[in-house]
Amino acid sequence: MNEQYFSIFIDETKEYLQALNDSLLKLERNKEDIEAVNETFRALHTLKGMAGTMGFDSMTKLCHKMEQVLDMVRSGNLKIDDTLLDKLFLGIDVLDKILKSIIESGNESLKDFDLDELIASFSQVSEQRKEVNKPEEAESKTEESHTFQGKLEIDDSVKRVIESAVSKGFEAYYLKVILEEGTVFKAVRAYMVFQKIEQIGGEILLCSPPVEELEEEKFDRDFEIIIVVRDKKKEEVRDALMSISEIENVVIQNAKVKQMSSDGVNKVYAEKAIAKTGSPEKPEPKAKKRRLTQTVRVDIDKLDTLMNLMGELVISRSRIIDTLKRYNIKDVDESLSQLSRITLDLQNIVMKVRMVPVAFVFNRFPRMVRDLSKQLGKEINFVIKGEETELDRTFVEEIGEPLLHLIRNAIDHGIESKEERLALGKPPTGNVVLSAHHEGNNVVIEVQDDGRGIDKNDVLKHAIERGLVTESEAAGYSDEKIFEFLFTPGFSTKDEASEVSGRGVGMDVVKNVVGSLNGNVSIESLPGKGTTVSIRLPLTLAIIQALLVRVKSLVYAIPIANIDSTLSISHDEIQNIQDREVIVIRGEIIPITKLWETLQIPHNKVGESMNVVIVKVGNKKHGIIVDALIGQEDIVIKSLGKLFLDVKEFSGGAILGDGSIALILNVTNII
Amino acid sequence: MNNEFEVLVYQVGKQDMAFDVEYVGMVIEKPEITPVPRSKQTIKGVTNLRGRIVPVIDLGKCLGLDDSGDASEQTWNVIVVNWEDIEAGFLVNSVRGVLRCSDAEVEQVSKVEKFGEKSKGIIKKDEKLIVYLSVDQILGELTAISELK
Amino acid sequence: MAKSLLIVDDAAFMRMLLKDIISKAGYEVVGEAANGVDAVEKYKELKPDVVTMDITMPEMNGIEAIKKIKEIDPNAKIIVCSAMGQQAMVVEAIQAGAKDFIVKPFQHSRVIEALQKVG
Repeated sequence: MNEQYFSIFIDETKEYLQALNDSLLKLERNKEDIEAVNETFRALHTLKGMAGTMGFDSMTKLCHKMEQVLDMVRSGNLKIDDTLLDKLFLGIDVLDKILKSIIESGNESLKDFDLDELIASFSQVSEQRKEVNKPEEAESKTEESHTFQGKLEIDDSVKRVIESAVSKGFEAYYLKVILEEGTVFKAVRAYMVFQKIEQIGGEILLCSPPVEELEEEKFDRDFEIIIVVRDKKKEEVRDALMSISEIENVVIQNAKVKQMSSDGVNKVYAEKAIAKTGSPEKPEPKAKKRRLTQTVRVDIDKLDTLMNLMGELVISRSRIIDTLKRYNIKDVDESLSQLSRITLDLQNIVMKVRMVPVAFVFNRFPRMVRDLSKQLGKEINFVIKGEETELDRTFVEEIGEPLLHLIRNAIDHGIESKEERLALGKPPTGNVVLSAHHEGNNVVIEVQDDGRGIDKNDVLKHAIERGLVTESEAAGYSDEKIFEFLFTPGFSTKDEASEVSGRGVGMDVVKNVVGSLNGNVSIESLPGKGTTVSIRLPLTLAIIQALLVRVKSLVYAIPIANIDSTLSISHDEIQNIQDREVIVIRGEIIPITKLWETLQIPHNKVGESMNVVIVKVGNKKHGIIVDALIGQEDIVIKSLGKLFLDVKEFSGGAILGDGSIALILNVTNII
Repeated sequence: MNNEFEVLVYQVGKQDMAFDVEYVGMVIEKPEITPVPRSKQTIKGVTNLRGRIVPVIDLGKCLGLDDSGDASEQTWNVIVVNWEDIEAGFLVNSVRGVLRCSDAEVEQVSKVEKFGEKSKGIIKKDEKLIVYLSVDQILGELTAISELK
Repeated sequence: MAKSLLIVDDAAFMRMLLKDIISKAGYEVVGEAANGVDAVEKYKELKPDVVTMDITMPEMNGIEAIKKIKEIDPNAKIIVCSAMGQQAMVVEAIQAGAKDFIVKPFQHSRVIEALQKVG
């Protein structure tokens, strides 16, 4: 199958699977939510069509079975209960697995899973109900019958109708309709034949096999009918029927019945429309009006290229400005400022193009929360806020795993058991809130729970036990500083029974990922009240504002998002507290780092006054001493590549206006 | 079987060495190199190659050779190679040119012990001995070290 | 002149596929719609010769859309696109005025036949 279809198929299938999870969760909250049933049905149905087109049979089959079950719910023949929901959720998981296998290997191999069994279990659900609802078979009245042409048998009443019609100037025809090999929906084709006959003014007197059997597709490729019609030649009737698709041939002859009597009953089968057996579609409740904006799908590579080109443009602009400054050319000032403005606008648009709502990553959590809370036997009210907040799509991809850890921790270690909560006078249902909002040029994502909170004394005790800090050192530590220990790799392990240690599982992962995105993470917690973990990220990954600083002849960039302030101090303002160099600013003790020492750059003694960049990581302030501050600039972040994976001090590099390279400090790892 | 292949021959110190030509993207004169503090000793730094940030590897150091001679006397070149998804430059003393040779001219036995797997053998041609280096191995080892940490 | 066509389906994937088949057959796809409401609007605007209409869609399903379009233009030529197991719906669509139907997964020849038959 064509490559382009494949990728769009994958993307759209992912979206539908997400939609399915969402609608099932809705159903779980309100089992009577007919709109959610419809949504689920529609998504399954569309998915089935797509999978079928791509030739993915297992996926098609599973969708089809699930859809049948949903259809029964829709028509009121089946009630949603927890067992059924679990089964449907499982079905979606399996669809997801199939999709993953398709992505990886191009085929639907499912290891360690018996798809047939699952499909059979869905069939069981629908079969059971079908039996209950099956209408009693209409007993076939056998009267005296005569063989007419092929298999067609007519009784006396039909004979009389034909007789009477012919006597009134109607034509009576015998028709044999043969469908093409492989016709799908043969019953519908038969219906279309009937409809066409009515349209040309004809009436069907008899058909074989009987209409009921045609409806159930209990026929091979052909069926016979007898019709009466006025003023239509055989050819006309035949042509009319041949205009229907998938009709291979129509044989038409005059119906001749010798024995005739008169009887007015000539409406025999015409009214028995095949449609009647199908469950009539209930009118769907008006869905909320969603304004569909016009969109184009763009290959992400193209967007990346666009962003890179944008970066080149920004660099070139800086270069031109540099050059012009050097020659002190004033004449171009106006056009230059215009160029700057356009570049800025363009940059904003390109940036916006890359932005996607955090909903993309938030959406997958409700399902995870559901499963986890069931597994742990806790009741969780999971609330998502601000899912429309937009973020660079690279972030959205990267931030998933850290959030997973945070939410998992909140539920597993934060929220108390039902009994415990009741004993504490808290409502039995725990609240976990995942939210996102803009704050200046940052996006803040928070995971908040109203669980037991983290006892800083326990954290401290643990840190001292592990030799991370001595008791005396820790004496003056602020809460934030204490919670920082939770980010230490290996501070917590899952095996340990202690709740506090559990709280830190995966926190180093969170810190690393967030750090690599030039963001920072902080924890606030009140024992008994709950915990909030905040992740602060710049709006976009590719272009950031940075402060350029110099150490000897080397230029480094510090993301503005990390900077609190800059100041100049004299050498004797540096004090030593517990073997750490600190400065005191407005009563606040701020530890400092000489950048050249951290980066191991040979450096002579510095002059009297020095420049300090105060950065903020979480709630913690820290001073970085540099030789000089150069100024603020938009820089395009470029990766340093695989060979520098071991260097944690830098998050990337940027090419400056003069073509030189400034390495970007990963502030989290510098201090 | 006597395959013919082409190598790019260059000097590191006084020694002739060669890379398979297929990996070589370009050769540039020694560019401005920005050091990356805290990175491996064998990495000289990064350079701006037409808007891309490309690492520059000190091949001599990488092979464990002593700094050879007076650096100021030497001409310096950077050979830019593409291997898997990595683009990297190798700092060498001078580039001599492309040489066509055959399997028969490569001596497998006399692999230079000092270089281990980094060398694929010695090319003997016109009375000259050229150390035939493996780009795969050198970059493979370097990335493995980075990923390990 | 090539016949003009409006494709209605909520899955972009399906639209793309149909468009490909249809364009290769020499028809001109003049518009696409992702739901019934959109389809009716586009029909009014574009007056296509033929419409391919998916049945299961959000906002307004295909059958409702067929009815609406038929109200606007009783001569509208609509081909229903259906999936396996939707016979009843197809019949309903045909009662509503659809001229023919095609079933997913689409066979190129069937799609073309349907287009030719509706004229």
